[in-house]
Amino acid sequence: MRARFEVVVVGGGHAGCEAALASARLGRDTLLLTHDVAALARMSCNPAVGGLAKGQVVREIDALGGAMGRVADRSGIQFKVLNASRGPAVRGPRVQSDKVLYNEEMSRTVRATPSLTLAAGAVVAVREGGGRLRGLLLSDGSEVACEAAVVTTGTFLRGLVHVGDERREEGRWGEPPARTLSENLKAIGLSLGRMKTGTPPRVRAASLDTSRMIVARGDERPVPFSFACRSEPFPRLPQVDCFLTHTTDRVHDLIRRNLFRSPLYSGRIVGRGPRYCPSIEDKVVRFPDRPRHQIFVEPEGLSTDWTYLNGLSMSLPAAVQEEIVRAIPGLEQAEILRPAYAIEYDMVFPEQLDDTLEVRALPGLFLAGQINGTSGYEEAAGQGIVAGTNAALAARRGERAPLVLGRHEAYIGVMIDDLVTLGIDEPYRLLTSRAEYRLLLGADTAYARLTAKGAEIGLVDPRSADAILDREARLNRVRGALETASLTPDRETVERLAALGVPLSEETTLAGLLRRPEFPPEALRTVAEGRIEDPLVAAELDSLDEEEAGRVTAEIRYCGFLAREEAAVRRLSRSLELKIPRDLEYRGLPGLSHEAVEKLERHRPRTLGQAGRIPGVTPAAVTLLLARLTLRKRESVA
Amino acid sequence: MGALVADREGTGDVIVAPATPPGASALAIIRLSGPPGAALAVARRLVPSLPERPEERHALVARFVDAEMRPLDEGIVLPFEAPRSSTGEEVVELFCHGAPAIVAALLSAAQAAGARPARPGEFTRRALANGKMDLAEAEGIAHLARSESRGAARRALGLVEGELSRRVRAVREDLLDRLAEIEAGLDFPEELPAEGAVMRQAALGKAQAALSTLVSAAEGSVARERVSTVTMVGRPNVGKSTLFNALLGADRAIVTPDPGTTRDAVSEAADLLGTRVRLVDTAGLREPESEAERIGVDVARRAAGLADVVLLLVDGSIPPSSEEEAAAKSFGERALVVRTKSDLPAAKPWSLAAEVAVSARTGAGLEALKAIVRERLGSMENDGEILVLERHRDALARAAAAAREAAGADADEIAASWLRGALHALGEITGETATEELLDRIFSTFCIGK
Repeated sequence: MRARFEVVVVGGGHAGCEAALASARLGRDTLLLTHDVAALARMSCNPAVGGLAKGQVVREIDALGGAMGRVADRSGIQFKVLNASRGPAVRGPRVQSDKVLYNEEMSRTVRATPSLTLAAGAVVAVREGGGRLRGLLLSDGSEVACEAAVVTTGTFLRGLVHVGDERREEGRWGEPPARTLSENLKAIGLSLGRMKTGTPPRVRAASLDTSRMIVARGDERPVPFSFACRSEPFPRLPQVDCFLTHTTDRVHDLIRRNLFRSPLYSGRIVGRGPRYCPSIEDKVVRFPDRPRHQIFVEPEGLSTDWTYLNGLSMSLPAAVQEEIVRAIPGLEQAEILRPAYAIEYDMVFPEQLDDTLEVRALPGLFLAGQINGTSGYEEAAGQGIVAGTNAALAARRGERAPLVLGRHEAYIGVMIDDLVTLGIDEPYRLLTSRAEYRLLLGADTAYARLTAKGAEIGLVDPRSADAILDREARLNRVRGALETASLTPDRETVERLAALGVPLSEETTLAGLLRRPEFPPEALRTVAEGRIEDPLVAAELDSLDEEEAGRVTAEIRYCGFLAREEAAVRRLSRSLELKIPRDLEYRGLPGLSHEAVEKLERHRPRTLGQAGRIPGVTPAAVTLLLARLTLRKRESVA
Repeated sequence: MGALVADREGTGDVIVAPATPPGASALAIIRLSGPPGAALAVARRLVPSLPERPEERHALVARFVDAEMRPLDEGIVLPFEAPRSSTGEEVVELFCHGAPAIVAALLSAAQAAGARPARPGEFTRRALANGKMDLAEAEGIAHLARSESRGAARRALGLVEGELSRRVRAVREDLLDRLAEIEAGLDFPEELPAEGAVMRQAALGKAQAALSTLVSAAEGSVARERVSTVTMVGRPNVGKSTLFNALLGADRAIVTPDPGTTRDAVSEAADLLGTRVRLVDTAGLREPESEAERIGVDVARRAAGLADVVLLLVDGSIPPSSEEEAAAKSFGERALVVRTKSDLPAAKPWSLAAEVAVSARTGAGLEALKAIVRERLGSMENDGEILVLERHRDALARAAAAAREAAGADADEIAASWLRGALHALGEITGETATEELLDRIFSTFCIGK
């Protein structure tokens, strides 16, 4: 292996892969360093990608030229859009993945990417010089020099696996942890915390009686995540069913009786676990009135017998787990292939990062994924693409401005802003309720929001960008035509609409018709026939696929609300986007409370808006900052 | 997001606020500030005669109208172009007569024309943002910052502490619960059944009812905050100024035996058995003989028109005139007929029923008069709450409107967007933000997560 790269990415999980791919797309000589080159983008927990907010992130990654959507499409064995009956902003595309094929597809992508080198190795320390990152020290004593690095350690930093009383130092089941890097990160001045997460038991498919469960099917007409897969055979793999079962009184009883053996309750686990992904112990304790909890039974692939019991994560002893699993309808004979386990790991409090995901204490060092306290493959990948891009940009300093996505632009932007501004005290998961501009952030609008930006930086290759932006332009033309095409209440039209249950008494436009709740949008094409003047646009309307037609309809129906949110974004921008210089001396500012100074120094907000979101920074303190910034600006002008 | 409530809602809006202290005074100044063109556009709705491009820093005498174009007052309008103004934006100052009702009507008219009430310190913030303040002034703000813990929100809360604040919090709790239900359903569709529009409508009924009660309470309270006005009218020399001074306990109005001495309305803060009122003395009610007196009588009519209680003073020693009878009729329930000079023998025949007789000279009946006025004012208050500022009323009204939209929305995510708006508006009163609390609520209420 060479001893010098422009960018090194440490860790080959979901964050690391996207980071390395992004850096390589920008043409940087990039090294992806991982302890096991066969384990790229391994799905260490559930065999699925996407869902609410997460599905939007996958689309955002795709819109920025990332790999996750394509890999998920090509390895998908059940596609389902959650909230399909709701408006487009809150629909969440999700796929059940073949874990093995997901890993293979990602490996293929990484290996086929020019200027990206994949190598095995474990990093034990970062090397600094002249106030910035200079390279990395590996466990075999060798060093790699680099301009910038992205560290994505996932659950490996001092990872500790718990199954009942048993504890093992592991980063994932059966894989060695990163033991010494934590100390080194502390040495450069970072403050570290400890988080906990868990994963449920895996059982053998052949040992299950699915006739006692409810079948959960995918969508009849699956929609891919990625733009590229629209022009490929899709879905590529045979589609499978999932199953739904539930806990029973006996399960709850077993859990209560054995609670003292759960390290979560005995106090052996100190790391904080996520509330949105509670262990079954937690659910039983916190919601004692609930007679049962759902268990989703999900195959982990086409060629594997492994099955994931979603909803049953726990850390009870393996023997108790077997009793619990077998008290569940359909799982009476279940053979456990791997018990559920909890894992504790070190993370870096993310308020020590800039919104570029660069460590403030050590320029050139970027962090992404679970090391920043998040959970979830999509959250990791979303940070990965931003960190990888910014590391690549930092490696050739001053070339162009870093990639920072706004809260109104992307869920990735919401997430990173939450992380670096608010900090965290539990593993962070994206939810649509975290986004104040939720209506602007639909999965279907990701390309309109991000592709032009991605293409400009060089993340999206020009041909793909052209195809994507061409479609956006097409949709805009169709929307415009529907807004202007008029509909007069002549006899024929009135009768035709009456047959659809839509009374028409005065002239309107096709868009006006679409906004009427009683109008069935699928009738649009028939009604529009002969009413759109430009034959090219009329043909474009006819050629829209189901998703595109749905999007045009929704954008017309929701345009009032969209305009309202867009106006809010515009109002927000002026003083809140005022930049705070990195070197601002908070301590010297008269009138700031000790608490505010401490918080501001710790979080180092980049903008006035971020400052205002930090818990403990009062509106008065923000006013004071505004005054100071204004004065500075005037002094520098004078 | 919530900490920066003041900025979230529009740095580009036209804001309006009185620049003079509340209560009656000879003059009041209302200030509008906004982007170039926008403040003038609002001003033009209040001052129809304002030219398209008025000369900056040039005072114009003009008629002010209310939202329905009804004349309100005559005064002076003074425009400032950006950046040569106190805030660095386009500023328009309106100088009007200092009757609280006129000020209130102009503020409502400005809002109807698109301005919104300024939040505390907002003029200052804009001035800072536009570089209109120097270091010394900025440090004045620093001092302010030191003295408060949660800033403007806490200060606002201090004003509404008590019953109103308790009720705002209760509504907020209720809205947060409803929003948590909706959000949980949106983010965890596999674990929670969708509620649907009908359920949502029913669930929001309680909060909506509570909000509309709050809005009416606030409206009553805003009306009260301008300090009730008690205006004295009566024929010349009936003894208005003498009574005015007696009630005030000071020689404020000029008292001479010449009729028509008081040409302007004279007003003073007075304490009527613990209730603070504005006491207004006016020119006499009779056909004016001079131009000056004509203006005085006009002022008297207008002042009486805006009063909460009109003390119609009648001289007990001479029979009531037709003007007095007409006045009693036109002021209706607001009129309180007071027979003055009760130390003199009563005249006959007597057609007006006096409720109280006083003698400013002996002091007889003064305490009774004060008690009756106080009782009258008291009966106009609704449920004895603490004052609500104009912008609190505005926030409540916005919250109520948003809750109504949420109940009527046909999609949960749209309803959620409105509910966030409602909570945000209530947060301007209570100083609380919703996002983290909302997540806490979702996770503690629903068993979520696979």
